[in-house]
Amino acid sequence: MGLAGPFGDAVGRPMRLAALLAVEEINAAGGIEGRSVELVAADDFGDPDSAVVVAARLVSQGVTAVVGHVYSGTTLAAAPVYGAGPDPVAVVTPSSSAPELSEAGDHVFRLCPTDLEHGAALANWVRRGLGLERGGVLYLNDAYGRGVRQSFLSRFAGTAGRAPQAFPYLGTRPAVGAYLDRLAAEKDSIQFLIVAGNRDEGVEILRQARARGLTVPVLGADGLEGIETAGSLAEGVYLTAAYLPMVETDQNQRFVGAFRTRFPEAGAPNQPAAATYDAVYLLREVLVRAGVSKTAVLRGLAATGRELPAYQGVTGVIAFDEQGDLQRSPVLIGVVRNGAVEVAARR
Amino acid sequence: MNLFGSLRSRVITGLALLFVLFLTLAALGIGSLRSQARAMDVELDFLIRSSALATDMVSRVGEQIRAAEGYLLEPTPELGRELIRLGDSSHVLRRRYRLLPGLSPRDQAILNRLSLNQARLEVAYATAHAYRDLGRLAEARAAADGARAPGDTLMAQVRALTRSQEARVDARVEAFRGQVADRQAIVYVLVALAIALGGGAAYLTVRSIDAPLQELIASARRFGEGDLRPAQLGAMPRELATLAQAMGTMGSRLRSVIDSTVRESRGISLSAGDLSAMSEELAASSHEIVKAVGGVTASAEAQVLEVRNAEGLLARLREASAQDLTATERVVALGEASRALSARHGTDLTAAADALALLRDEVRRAAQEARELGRFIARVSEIRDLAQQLASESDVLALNASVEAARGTEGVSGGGGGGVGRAGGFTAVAEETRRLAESSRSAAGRVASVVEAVEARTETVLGTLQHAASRASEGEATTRRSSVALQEIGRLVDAMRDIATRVARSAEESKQVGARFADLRAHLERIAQENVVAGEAVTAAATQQSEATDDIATSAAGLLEASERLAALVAGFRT
Repeated sequence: MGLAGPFGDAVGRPMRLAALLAVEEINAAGGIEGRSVELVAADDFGDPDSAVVVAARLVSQGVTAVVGHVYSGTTLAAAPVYGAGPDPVAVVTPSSSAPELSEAGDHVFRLCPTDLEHGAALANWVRRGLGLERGGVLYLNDAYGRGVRQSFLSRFAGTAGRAPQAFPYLGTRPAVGAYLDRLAAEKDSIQFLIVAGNRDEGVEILRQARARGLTVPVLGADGLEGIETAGSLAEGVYLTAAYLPMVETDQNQRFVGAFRTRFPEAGAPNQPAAATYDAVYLLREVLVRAGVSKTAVLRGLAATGRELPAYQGVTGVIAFDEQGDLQRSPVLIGVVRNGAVEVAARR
Repeated sequence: MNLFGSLRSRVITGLALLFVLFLTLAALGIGSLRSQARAMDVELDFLIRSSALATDMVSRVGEQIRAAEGYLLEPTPELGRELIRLGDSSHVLRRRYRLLPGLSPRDQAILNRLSLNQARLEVAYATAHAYRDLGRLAEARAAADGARAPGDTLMAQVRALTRSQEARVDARVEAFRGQVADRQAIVYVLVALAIALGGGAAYLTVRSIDAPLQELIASARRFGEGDLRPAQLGAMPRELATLAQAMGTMGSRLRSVIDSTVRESRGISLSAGDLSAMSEELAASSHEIVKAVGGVTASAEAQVLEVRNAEGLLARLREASAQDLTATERVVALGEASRALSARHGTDLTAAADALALLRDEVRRAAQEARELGRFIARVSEIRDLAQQLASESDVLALNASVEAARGTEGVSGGGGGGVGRAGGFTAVAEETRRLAESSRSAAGRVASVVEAVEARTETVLGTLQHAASRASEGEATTRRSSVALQEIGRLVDAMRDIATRVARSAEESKQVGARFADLRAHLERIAQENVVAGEAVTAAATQQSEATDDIATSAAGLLEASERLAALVAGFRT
């Protein structure tokens, strides 16, 4: 079983640990029909080029299926490599939420809501939860950021809010000074700031915004996951999430307990970690039910929730639609309070 | 059952093999063409789509740069939105490009960098626009200049992508060429194989037909030359084996037919021998008949000659009789004159008269006898006519017998068909000859009786005349004694004596004629005897011929049966 993701960063590291935990548990329980599961982990560094190379390597190593990648950019880049050839390799991404991933091929499945859902949930929260109308959108100019930006703006326009201005940025330490100056110039009329990007950029943008006296609420999608570790800067930041470790379901509590026990240094598992844990167990189910060949795994995954029963995992009920997306994918709104994420609302 | 035992199965198998090869060739050719066409379609489609996408991406970037630069000159919200719209559109194009089938990892990497450069370009212009909005134009210009480098890189990357696709298509086309060459080689090999197989199959088939055919031809030729002994033929295809079997059956049937024919021929030969012997016998008997009929003819001719002699004698006899009659009539007249004279001379003469009266009676009797003789002579004429008729019939009969004898000889050498008819002809001739012999015999009898009667009459006439002569002598003596008065009577009596002498001479002559007739009768009897003998010989020959004819008929029937059996045997053949 292949595992691909940015294992070096804060998002990807728990994912690898969760995968290890799941494989250890499965092998300890006797493997899959007597055969132990081997995890072939490959670090793609969160980079699309690396993702392509890693994908080619995993395919050549003969993996039955791949859990990964984490980011939408890397998954989209790697998906054609897994899908090439007469015997495609199934890809189950825990957290790639870009809408275009739905069209990346029949071999691509995901265990998270799409950006459209995150963006839409965010727009709903801004308009209905917080009652705000004017603001600006800073988006990471990649597939993920653009997806969140598009779905947010689309849903926001539908709720009769005034169309916010959108500014693209790049890099983990983005040069957004000009945008923030521009927004600060209209400080009085600006009520919120959306960061459609990842945690590190979010922290940097927060820092720069606060430096310019922009104190309006900052909101982001699931990319901001982990921002609570940024200290006071992150206090009051809203973020959407497909998973939060404090969700009190039995599966989740068991998983979080096991994870903390197995990796006491790692802290609480994030969404990619929980979804990866679910993905490994889902693949085990499919291998048992449908067979161990690549084609069988593909068929088994596609049938999950239709011909085959849905899988009740840590992140919820896993049942795929025709495009490999979840049929139902609840999006949570979290808020950072006292250095921790609390559930602000459940959509 | 041997699958290749018959020509039919061999030919069908050969054709099926060739057909399968042909189908393989056709399938290979069509498959090659189709796969090539499909691959070319895919590649062309890929090239067209990738080129169109690349062109769109380039033009979209151009529009984006134009809009961005326009915003720098005169910022409007529309241009700001247009910029974002064009950016999104470019990303969609890239995403579509990424979904093209068969992109290499290098292409994906180029796309990633292309995407990054587009993002950089957009960020640079967005930053420049922000500065422009803030009225910080120099910073705006500087930020916009920062878009140039990613823009140039982006164009270069699009071109690199296009070149990569062209190279890929070139490589694929080259690969197709290689595949086509490989397929061509396979097709050539298969064609060569098909030709070799076809040729081999044809050679084997021809050989498997030719060798047994030669054997069959030789066998048929031997049959044709009359050698009907069964031939020992080697292994051959089922059809030819059937033919050989049919020929063997034909040979054995021919052998049996010819054996039967030989047997029948021997029978016919024997019958022909019998027939030949019978024919010889028939010929011999015919010759005998001819000879016998020749004898009959000769004797008939002798009869004719004799009858002609008899005719001469009869003429002479008739003449003598006529003279006798005249003389007798004159004697009667003289007698009357003498009686008258006597009466005149008285009683002396009475004795003479009585003597004369006696003489007259004697002479009358002689005249009567002479008349009777005349009638007999007339009957002898009839006998002559009969003899003549016999002679002519004998001639006709002889001619017929010769003709039939000639035919008999010819018929024997010509065949047995007319044996019965000629046998009938001979029988008729024989019958006729027998009848003729009978007629001859009765004629001879009748001639004999007539001659005897003539002799008797002649004897009577002679006696009467001698008696009359003695009476006359007695009258002469009486008369002499009657004196001179009776001189006249004497003269009369002299005259009567002359007449009587002449009549006596005539009677003598008749006697001689009678003796000649006796000779003639004896001759006729002999001839008749000869005719009877000849008739019997003819009858015997005819009987023999009849028997021979029966035998010939039997032999002919045997021959007929044999020939019918032969015909039935020959009818068993179809022509």
